[in-house]
Amino acid sequence: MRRIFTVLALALAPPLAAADTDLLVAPAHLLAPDDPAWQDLAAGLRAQTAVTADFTENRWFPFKKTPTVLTGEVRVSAGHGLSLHYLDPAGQTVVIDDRGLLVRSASGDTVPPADPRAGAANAALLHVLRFDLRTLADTFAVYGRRTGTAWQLALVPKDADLRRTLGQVAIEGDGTAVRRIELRRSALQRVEILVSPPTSTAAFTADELGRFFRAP
Amino acid sequence: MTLLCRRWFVASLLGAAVLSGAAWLAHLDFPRKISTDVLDLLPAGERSPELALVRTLASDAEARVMLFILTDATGAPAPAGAARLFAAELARRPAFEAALAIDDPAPREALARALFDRRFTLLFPRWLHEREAAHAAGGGDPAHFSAWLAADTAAGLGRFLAQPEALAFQDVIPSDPLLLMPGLVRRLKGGLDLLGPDADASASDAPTRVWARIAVSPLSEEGQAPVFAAIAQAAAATRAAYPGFAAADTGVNRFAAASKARIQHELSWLNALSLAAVLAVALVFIRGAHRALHLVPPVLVATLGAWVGVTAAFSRVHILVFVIGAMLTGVAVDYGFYLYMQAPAHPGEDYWAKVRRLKKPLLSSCFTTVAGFCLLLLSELPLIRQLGLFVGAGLVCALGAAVVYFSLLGNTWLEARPLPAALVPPAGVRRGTRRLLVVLWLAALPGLFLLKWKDDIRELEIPSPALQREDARIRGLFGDRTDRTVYLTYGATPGEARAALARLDVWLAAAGGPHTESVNFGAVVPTAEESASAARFVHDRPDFPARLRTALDAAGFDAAGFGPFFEAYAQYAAHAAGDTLDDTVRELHARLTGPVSLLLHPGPPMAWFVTLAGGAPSAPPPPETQTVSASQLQSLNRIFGEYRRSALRLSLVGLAIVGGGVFLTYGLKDGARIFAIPCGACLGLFGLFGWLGQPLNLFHLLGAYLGVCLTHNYSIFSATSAYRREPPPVSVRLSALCTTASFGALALSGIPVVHALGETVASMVLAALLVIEFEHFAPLAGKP
Repeated sequence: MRRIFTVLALALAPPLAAADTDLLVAPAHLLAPDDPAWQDLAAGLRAQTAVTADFTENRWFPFKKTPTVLTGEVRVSAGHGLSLHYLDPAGQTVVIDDRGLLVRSASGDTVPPADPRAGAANAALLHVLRFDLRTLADTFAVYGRRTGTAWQLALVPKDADLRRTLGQVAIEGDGTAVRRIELRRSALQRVEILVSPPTSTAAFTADELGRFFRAP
Repeated sequence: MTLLCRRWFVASLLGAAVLSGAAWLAHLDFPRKISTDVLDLLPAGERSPELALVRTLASDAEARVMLFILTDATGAPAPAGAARLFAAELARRPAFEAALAIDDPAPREALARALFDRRFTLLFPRWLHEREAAHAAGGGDPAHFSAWLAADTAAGLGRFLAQPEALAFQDVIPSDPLLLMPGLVRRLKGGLDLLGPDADASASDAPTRVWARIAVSPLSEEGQAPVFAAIAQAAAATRAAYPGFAAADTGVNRFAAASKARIQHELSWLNALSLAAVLAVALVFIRGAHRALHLVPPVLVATLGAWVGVTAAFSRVHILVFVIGAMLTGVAVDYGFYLYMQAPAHPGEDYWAKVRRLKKPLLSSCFTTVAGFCLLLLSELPLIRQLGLFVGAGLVCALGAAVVYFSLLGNTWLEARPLPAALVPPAGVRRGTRRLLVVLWLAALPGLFLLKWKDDIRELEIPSPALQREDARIRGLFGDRTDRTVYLTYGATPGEARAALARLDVWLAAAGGPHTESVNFGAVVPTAEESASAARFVHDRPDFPARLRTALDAAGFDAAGFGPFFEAYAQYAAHAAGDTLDDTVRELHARLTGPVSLLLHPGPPMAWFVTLAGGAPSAPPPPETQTVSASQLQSLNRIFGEYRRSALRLSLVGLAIVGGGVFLTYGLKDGARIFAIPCGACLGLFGLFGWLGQPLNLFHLLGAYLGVCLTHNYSIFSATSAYRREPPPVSVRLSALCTTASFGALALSGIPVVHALGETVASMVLAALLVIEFEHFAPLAGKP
C-alpha cells in the first residue's frame, strides 16, 4: 500500500526529460553540481517566485491503447511548492511541498501515509524546481544539455529501487520556462506533462495560496 | 489440671496455631497469589459478555502495547534509522512480542501485499455487492447483470485512469481492473486520520515513534521489571550507534508498577501508623503503659488469621484487600480492651470465670460484626468478598486469641485511667450538647437528597500525575484523539462479529451526523452473505471473464494486458466457497502487525472488530449491534456502578437483619433508641457529605456498613451499662477512639477509595461516641 503512494508521489513529480533522453544519459552530459555553465539558468529559475501555466498531461499505460489525457493549471511557488490543479477531468488538486504530498478534492484533503521513499522523491522534485543541482546530486545522476536558450535535464536515480519505481525523469525548458516534463519507466509506461508558456508570474494572492496550496 | 499445666496447654495451642498460620503463609507464591491487577477486582464469571470482552481485550491486546517517542542528543526527533534499530533491538528480546517503527513502510507494505493476495476472498464480495446494488438501483435486468457489470467495469477503469491516484496503482491494475485495491483506499480514506497523525509524519519536526507489544500481561511481574530492563538494554544498544539517543515510553505496565510500589508503600506505613495510633490511644487511657502492649499479640494473631483465611479461600487476592484490611486492627483490638479492662467481679476472680461472665456480650459483639461481614461474601465483587472474609476471619481469630492470650497473664485486669474531673462536662452542658447534636443531625438530613455518586474505577489507583502527563504527551504524539469514540463489536465467530459490524455501520450512518466518520475492518472483511453471494456469482456466471475482455477491448484497453487478473480470477472461481470467511479472517489477522493488528481479533473465545469513529452519536449503540462503546474506562465504571448498587442492596438487607434483632431483643422503644446510634450516625454523615457536595463511591458505602456494625456494638454495650445505671463502659470509649485513630490513619491514604473508607468509618464512630458520651442512653436507666 505504501508503495502505491510512493509511486503516486513519484509519478506526479513534474520535472522531466526530453524525447531523446536516452541520448542525453551519457557520461559526456553528466553535470557537476556546481557546473558554472548552468548557474545563470539556476539563478533565473530561482528568481521566479510564482509561475502559473496551463498544462496537458498524457499518461501512457501498457494495458491501454491510447494515452489518457488530462489538462489543468500548474502553479509553482518558491515558498509553497508545486500545485497541479486538474480541470479536465475536474475536481482534484495535487500539492507537493516540503511537507510531502497532498491531494485535494471536494471531499477534503487527503495525505498519504508517510513513506521515506516518497519523501525523498518529493524532496527531489522540489530541488529540481529550485534548480538545486547540488542537493539533487545526492540522489540522482544529473545529465544536462543546452542549445541556445533551450535546455534539457535528465535525472537517473542512483538507488536501484528508486530507479525501478521512478524510472528516469526528464525536463525540457526554454530560458526560465519549463516546457516539458516526462516520467519514463518504459516506452509503454510514462507520463508526459506539456507546460504552456506562463500565463502569469505575478505573486499568488492569499486566495490562490489557500485554494491551490497547503495551509501553513 | 493445674494452673501451670493449663497455661502450658493454652500456650501450646496458641503457638501451634500461630506456627501453622506462618507455615501456610511461608509456602505461598506471593507474586502469583497477590494481584495488583485492577481488573481482578471484577468478577471472572461475568454477568455480561461485554465485561468478558473488555477484560480479554485489556489483558490480551491493548494493555500490552507500549509507545515510544525517540529523540536525539539535542532533543529533536531521532533519525528513522535509530527508530528501526531500536525497534529491532526490542523485538529480539523475549520480553517483547513485536516492535516496529511507525514510519517504517515495510509493515504497511506487507499488509497491502496480504490484502492484494486475498483481494478476491476479501474485497471482491463487497465490490460485487455494491455493483449489484448499483445495477438494481438503475433498474437493470438481473439476467443481463454480467454484461452490464463488464461494461461498467471497463468504463469505471477508464474514468479512474484520469484520477491523480491512478498512477500509484498502474502496476497493480493489470491484476486488478476491478479496482478492488483503489476501492479499499477510497473506503478507508475518511477514516485514516482516525488512526493517527501519519499525515504530518513526513514533516521535518514529526516525532519519531515506535510501537511495541510486550509478550506477557503488563500487570504481571514479568510484564514490568524484565520489560523495563529490556527497554534500557535496547536503548543502550541503539545509543552505541546513535550517540545521545533517548527513548520516552508509556504503557500500562508503567502505571501498574508505579501503583504497585505505591500500594506496597501504603501497606507498610498505613498499618504501622494505624497500630501506632491505637497504641497511643491505649497509652493515654490505660494505667501501666507497658502492660498495654499485651493488646498487640491478639491483633497480630488476628491479622495472621485474616491473611491465612483469605489466601486459603481465594486463588488470587487483590493487594487492596490488605490495605483496606488495615481496618481490622482497629476492630480486633476491641475484644482485648473489653476482656482485659473488665475489673474482676470480686478479688481473686478466676480468669476463666471472668471469660464466662463476659462471654455473652463478647460473643454477641463479635458474631454480630462477623455476620455483617459474612454477608459481604454474597457480593459479586471479588474485592468485597475477599474483604468480608478477611475481616470476618480476622475478628474470629482476634476474639479467640484475646481469650486464650490473656489467660497466660498473671494479672488479667488492665485498669483504665479515670477521666480528670475537668474533662467531664456538667449535666447541663451534656444535655445542651446532646440537643445541639440532634439539631445538627436534623440539619444534615436534607443533604441526603443532594448525594452524588461517582463510580470511577480510577479511584482504585493511586494518582500518578507525572506518569499521566507523560502518557498524555506520548499518546498525543501517537494521535490519540479525545474526540474519537472506540466501539467494540463482538461475536462468537468472525462471521458473527462481522454481521454485527454491518449493523453498527448502518446505525452509525443513521444516528451520526454529517461529520461522522469511522474506520474499521468492515472495509476489508466482507459479510458472510457477501462472501457466499460472490461464490455463487463466479459459479453461476462463468461468462463474466469473456464479457469483461470484450468490454475492455471496446473501451480502448488491451485485454491481453490484464492476463494476471484473468488468471487469478479463474483460480478464485475454481475454489470459491461461501463458508471460508472465518478462516480468511484468521489468515488475515496472522499477517497484521503493529497498531492495526488491534483493530481485529478473530478469537477464540470471542471475535471482535474495533471501530474508530469521529463525531460519533452520543447514544450507545443498540443491543442488536453487539457493540459496546469501548471506552474501557466507561464500561468498567458503569459496571462498577452496578456493583455499588448491588452492595447497597446487600447492606440494607444486613441492616434490616441487625435492626430486626435489636427490636426483638429490646422492644420497639428502647430498640429504636439503640438502633438510632448506627442509623443516625450513618444518615447524618451521608447528609453532611451531601451538603458538602462530596461525590461518594462504593467504598463510602462499605465504610458505612462497617461503621454501622461497629457503632451497633457500642450502642448495645452502652445500653447494657445504662440499664445498670452505669456510665458507658470505658472499653467502648477506648475502642471507639482506637477505631477512629486507625481509620483516621486510613483517611490519610493517597488511594481515593481507601481514603473514602477511612473517613467514613472514623467519622461515623466518632459521631456515635459523642452521642454515647453525652448520655443518649440515660433514659434507659433503671429499666429491667
